[in-house]
Amino acid sequence: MVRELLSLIIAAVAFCGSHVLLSSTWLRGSLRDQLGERGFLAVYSVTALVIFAWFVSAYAGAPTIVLWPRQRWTALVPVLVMPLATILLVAGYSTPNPTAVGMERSAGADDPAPGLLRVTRHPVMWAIGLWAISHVVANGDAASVLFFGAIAGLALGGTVLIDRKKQLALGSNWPRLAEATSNLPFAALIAGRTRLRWRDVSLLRVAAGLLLYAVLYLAHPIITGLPIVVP
Amino acid sequence: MAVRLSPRAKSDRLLGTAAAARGGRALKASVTAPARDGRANEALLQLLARAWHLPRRNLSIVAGAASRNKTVRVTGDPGKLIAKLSAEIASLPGL
Repeated sequence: MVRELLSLIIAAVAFCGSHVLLSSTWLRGSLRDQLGERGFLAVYSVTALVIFAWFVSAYAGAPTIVLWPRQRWTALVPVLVMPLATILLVAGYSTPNPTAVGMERSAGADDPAPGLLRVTRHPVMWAIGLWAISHVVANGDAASVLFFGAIAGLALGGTVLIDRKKQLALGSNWPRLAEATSNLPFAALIAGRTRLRWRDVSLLRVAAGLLLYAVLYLAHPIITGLPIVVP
Repeated sequence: MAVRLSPRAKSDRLLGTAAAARGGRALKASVTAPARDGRANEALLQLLARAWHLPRRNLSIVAGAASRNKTVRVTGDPGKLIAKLSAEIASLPGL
């Protein structure tokens, strides 16, 4: 099985390795000194994009090795989880977020965690993580575990690495943000540390998230070449 | 490859090989999916990909999409594929 999947395994290691190397090691500081912040982000983005394209093509060409059978409930997991993921994705990109690249200043705002940031301070990372994990469950084959597993591991492991960096970057603003939010979705709300203000969340974001879900659902065969099959 | 597919069956399964309508032999398979909106076709292609450890994108239906008698195209390295699929098909019962 390892031999059949070797090229995908190599791509997975390169995908995770390049991200961690560029975001969380000495290489980041060294490149940023040489290229400047914008130059560094450009190099990071291009590298990430090229390696991701390679990873996708390695996944598409990987053999199908079943680890657990497809069942009605496994196929339903992404159908039910993806609406939350798309809402988090839309909210994540449309809400000023102190944990996002170049957004540190918003931590000084009156409310450092507006809207859905109170569900999680890493909405985009959790959107990616939920997308990936739900697709591992539904597909149940070794190549999907490697592909979506690496993406989920990087996204959700990334939240911890980002928190560590932002703690340093935000200084005295960090405890305010950490108190009003949680990394794990809904944890701060359940613990009663924070409250959702629906005016800040805005129904428009929820509606746009659900619209994105509908588009992705219908366009799934066009985007991936595979229809959504619920047995 | 000629395939004779039974939709709405009890299980997703390769049953064996049987004489084909137009001569030669066909692979017989069953899927639980109904024959509508291409669901049985997709179930067949996923069944074959899973049974033979192939990427799903290397399989497609080139004829008989709306019929029980289908022609499935399998792409890949011909030498390896012929050896692998001959062995797989030989291990199935003749019906």
